[in-house]
Amino acid sequence: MENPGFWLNGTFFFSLTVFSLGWLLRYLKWSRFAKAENVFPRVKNPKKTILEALTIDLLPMKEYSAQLDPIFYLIGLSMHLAFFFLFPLYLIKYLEILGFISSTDSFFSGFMGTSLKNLYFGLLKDVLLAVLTISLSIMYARKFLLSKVKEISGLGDFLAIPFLLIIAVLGYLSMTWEAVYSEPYFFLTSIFMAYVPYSKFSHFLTFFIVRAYRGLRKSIYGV
Amino acid sequence: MVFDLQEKFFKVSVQGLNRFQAVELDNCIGCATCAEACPIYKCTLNPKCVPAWKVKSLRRLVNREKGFFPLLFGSRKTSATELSEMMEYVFKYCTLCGRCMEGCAPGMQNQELFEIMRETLYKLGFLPDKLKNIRSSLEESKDPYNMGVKARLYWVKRTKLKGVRVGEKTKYIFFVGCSSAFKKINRMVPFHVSNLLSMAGVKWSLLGEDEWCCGSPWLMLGDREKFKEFALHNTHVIEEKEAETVLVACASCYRTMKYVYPRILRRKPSFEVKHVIELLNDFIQQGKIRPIKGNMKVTYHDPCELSRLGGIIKEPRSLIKALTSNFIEIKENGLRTRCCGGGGLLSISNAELQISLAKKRIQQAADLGVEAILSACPSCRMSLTQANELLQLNMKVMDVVEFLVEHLKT
Repeated sequence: MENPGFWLNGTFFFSLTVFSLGWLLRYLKWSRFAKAENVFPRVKNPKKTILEALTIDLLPMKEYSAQLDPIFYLIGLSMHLAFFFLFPLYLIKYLEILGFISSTDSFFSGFMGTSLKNLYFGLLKDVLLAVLTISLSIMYARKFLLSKVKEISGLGDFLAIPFLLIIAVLGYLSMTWEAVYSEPYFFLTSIFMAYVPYSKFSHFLTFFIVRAYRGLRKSIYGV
Repeated sequence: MVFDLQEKFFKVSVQGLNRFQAVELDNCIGCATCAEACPIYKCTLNPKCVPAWKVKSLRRLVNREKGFFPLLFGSRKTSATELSEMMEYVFKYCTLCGRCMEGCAPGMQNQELFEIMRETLYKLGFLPDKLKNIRSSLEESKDPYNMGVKARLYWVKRTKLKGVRVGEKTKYIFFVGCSSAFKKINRMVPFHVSNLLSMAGVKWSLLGEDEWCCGSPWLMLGDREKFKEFALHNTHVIEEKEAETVLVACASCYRTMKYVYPRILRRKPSFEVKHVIELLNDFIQQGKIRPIKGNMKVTYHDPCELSRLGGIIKEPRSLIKALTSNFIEIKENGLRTRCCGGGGLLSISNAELQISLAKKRIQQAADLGVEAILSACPSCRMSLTQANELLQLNMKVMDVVEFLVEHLKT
């Protein structure tokens, strides 16, 4: 590429625009419906209720889905935790490719100290990626093997998980073989970012709203 | 692919959905954990019975009307075949028990979403034939059994209940409910409740011919306007009597009057709604009723609308424990109670499935080796009794009120 900076920045801002537009469209869609009932006046301690709904209630002893299907709960939890801990690393790598950060390595050294950084970049990263890859693969296999999951999955669902898997692997490779994998990783991540608000990945935001509201609604019944 | 040129298409408008529920629809990740919680899926193993399938269908309708593309290009129509399929599963394969909500990791509140889905289909004329009779009964007789308001007090005559006040201004109004007033099997429950109230020195009255169905069948059919009409009538009649508390012996009436009336009428009625179990439990604690504690081995089936959707979980247990020292919890109880099939008008739309659900539930009780299974809902009682007879189990199906009466000093 003659001017990689132009292409990188262009791709980034384009995907950021599509990402923002996606959320705007979603917001416009939601706002076309009537206002929901304000449940706050009917709840004794809303802050505590919301906090519990997003923390304690998610633990396996309280969360019924965990008791109904403990293996799936474990896989889901592993996947989300692995994603949560890998995300900063992948994001900073993305920003490094973009030129917003000089070096991922030095960024994390300054942030968490060299020994912790080495652990994060070494064994921890490998383990997390392995967990993420395995759990995502199982999630994907469910869509083919279990008729109950297959029936409720749309085309987007069949594309989303492999997309995430490819990005996870490419991101990992880009940290080792920078010259070869950085740009493919960057472009795919940009597409992924643009795709998030149009897909079920948007649950990363809506999940918290819905869980909190459920907690409030349930507390009205006194349960 | 074969295209049917005669296929009808409908412009669907999903009304009654609020902003939060629109967010909820987008929040379903299709993990299918709700399937494990749904008693109907567990019974049929049909993937279209998975609650998330219904959510997906509703989301599709919403997206065709108000999604990204309709914002730019206008709404899209839905084929009659697709709507018929939705009707099949949302009316005939759902009891609106809400158990899927408990098993949903993302926290969806499907029960209300499915009511909205029924409403959407009903407005388009998609209603199973078997449920059409209910609609006409409700319209003409103000009850789902087509008995009429004149027959509201027939149970008083049959049970030879004495000292009944009808339509008087009293602190307590006893809202009998259709399944207790018109079904022979439940007739003794209002009789016992009336006597217990009198025994505790409570001044109470019945609404008599002024009582209409609470309206929950309208919600289950999907007619919100008619529901509102019934809710307005009952609220007006009760408020006219200046009653402080309305007592109900039915789980469906309880949830509808306590939680749905204020939501649909957009105001809080002047009266409080209590299930008789709450009041009777208070009377026992206060010593106004003194039962003799026995040791009959019993279990309690939580009606979905009373426990998960109504929050009454501790009170029946406290009451039963005051009556027997041999109370055993059934598997899947409290908030996670398993539906007996008596809800969502399933007994009319899909009686075979209702019986299968009831059989599974009563078998759970039979496995405990109990002498009786208690409940606090006339619909549950009817459903469980039917299964009990079919399975020929040596077990009683009773209402908690009847169990209490059996333990009173003579």
